[in-house]
Amino acid sequence: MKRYTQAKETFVDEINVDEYVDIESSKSAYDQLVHSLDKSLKMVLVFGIPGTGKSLLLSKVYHDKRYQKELHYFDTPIVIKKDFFNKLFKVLTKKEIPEGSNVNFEVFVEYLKKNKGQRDIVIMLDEAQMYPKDILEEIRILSDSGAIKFVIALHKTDDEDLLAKKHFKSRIWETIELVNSSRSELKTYVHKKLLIANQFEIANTIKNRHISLAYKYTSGNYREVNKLFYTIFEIYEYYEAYNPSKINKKKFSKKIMEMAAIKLEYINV
Amino acid sequence: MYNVDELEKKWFRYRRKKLRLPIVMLAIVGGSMLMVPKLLDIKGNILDGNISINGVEATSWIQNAINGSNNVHLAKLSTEVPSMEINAKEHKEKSGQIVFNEKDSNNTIYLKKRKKIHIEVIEKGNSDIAKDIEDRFNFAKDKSDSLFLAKYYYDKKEYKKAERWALETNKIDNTIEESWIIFAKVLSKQGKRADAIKILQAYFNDSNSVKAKTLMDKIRLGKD
Repeated sequence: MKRYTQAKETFVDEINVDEYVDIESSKSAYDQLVHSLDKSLKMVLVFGIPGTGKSLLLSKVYHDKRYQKELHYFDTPIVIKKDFFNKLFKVLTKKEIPEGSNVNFEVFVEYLKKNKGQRDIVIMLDEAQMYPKDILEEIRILSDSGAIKFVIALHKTDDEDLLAKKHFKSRIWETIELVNSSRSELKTYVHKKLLIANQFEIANTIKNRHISLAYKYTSGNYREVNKLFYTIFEIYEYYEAYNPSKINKKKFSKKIMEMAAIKLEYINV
Repeated sequence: MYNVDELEKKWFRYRRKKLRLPIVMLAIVGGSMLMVPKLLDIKGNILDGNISINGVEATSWIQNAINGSNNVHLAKLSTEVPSMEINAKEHKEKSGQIVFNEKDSNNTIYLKKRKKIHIEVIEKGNSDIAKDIEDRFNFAKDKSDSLFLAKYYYDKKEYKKAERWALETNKIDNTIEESWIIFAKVLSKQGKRADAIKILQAYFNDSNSVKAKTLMDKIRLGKD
């Protein structure tokens, strides 16, 4: 694969724990979440604006700790009550629900209360702001049973998240807030991403002034950073294939950065 | 894939737009620099009693306007134009602009020379980046960082340092082909060709790496 294609691929915005980049703030959030799993908490809240790495953090913790703890990760919201409880039934009993039968919520809670202390079950719900109110209410009751611990990830700015936060207010014992990267973290992030993809030469051409420009466009939001660098390398890839004289491999191009910013509408022409 | 050529055209438009403001500002500043001596020329004549604009003696109403008087007098026309000289020989340490001395009977205008400011732009060099990465490695022990440093120092022909970082990488993960290759190359460059071959042979036995084999052959032939 060509160097710019490889560099581009590393910035595809997807949850890939193998390409998880350890930077100071994400390391601290990771440690905090792992530590909170050992505490006797009913609920842990992970929140932050979109693109700050909530899903990646949950995936990474799930990936790293799934053999040490009874962890379950619901990466997409289940908005139909019946489906949600069927999944929960499977998690708890490790069996499929018999066809044609329904889960009785009260019996479910009783079952959990009886089994309290025997298993340390943690359920991680991503995009929790998308769950309907009645499911959220039942999650609250389930967490009150003390038999299941919930880690819920929410968006910070949506109205729904406020609703959800309000909903769980009295049960949340630990909150972990994820924020956009700082300028120096952004530099580490971009460099490490490229180093993971073995693109040392490219990483070496990206200087502080390029990072400052990227920060200006993206405000350090990881999703935006991924989008920006993906587009930059896509343009590089095009020039490399069709017009190599337009690129200098020893110097990272501000022009191409600006072109990518125009494409992504960070710059209005 | 979108149209990159079209995007490039947009970028040129953006650059032009971006450059327009500084150019306009420059034109304004340049224009005013040219106009100031002329304006001062007029004022100088007014104070001297003669007012001329482009060879035409103007009215004393300009003088009155300048002096704040409300009386307006008719113009007195004359074809004789008293000339003004701009004396740039002397300058006082006052400001960076043109200084007009009203009391000077010769109506001499002093132009102060612009002070030269030496601006040095220092950019963070590669060694700083390497230092940043070294610091980061001490904190995070990331193999991609150490491998980067090994390669970086190898390219800079700092073989001792390259050897150290290749070793650090191998300590963390002994399956990285590139790290072994750099390690062997570094040894070879330092004259330890037998050691380099031994290491490559051991790595080749474990991995069947084509790169390791090729390098081994090159070192044997004295080509690397």
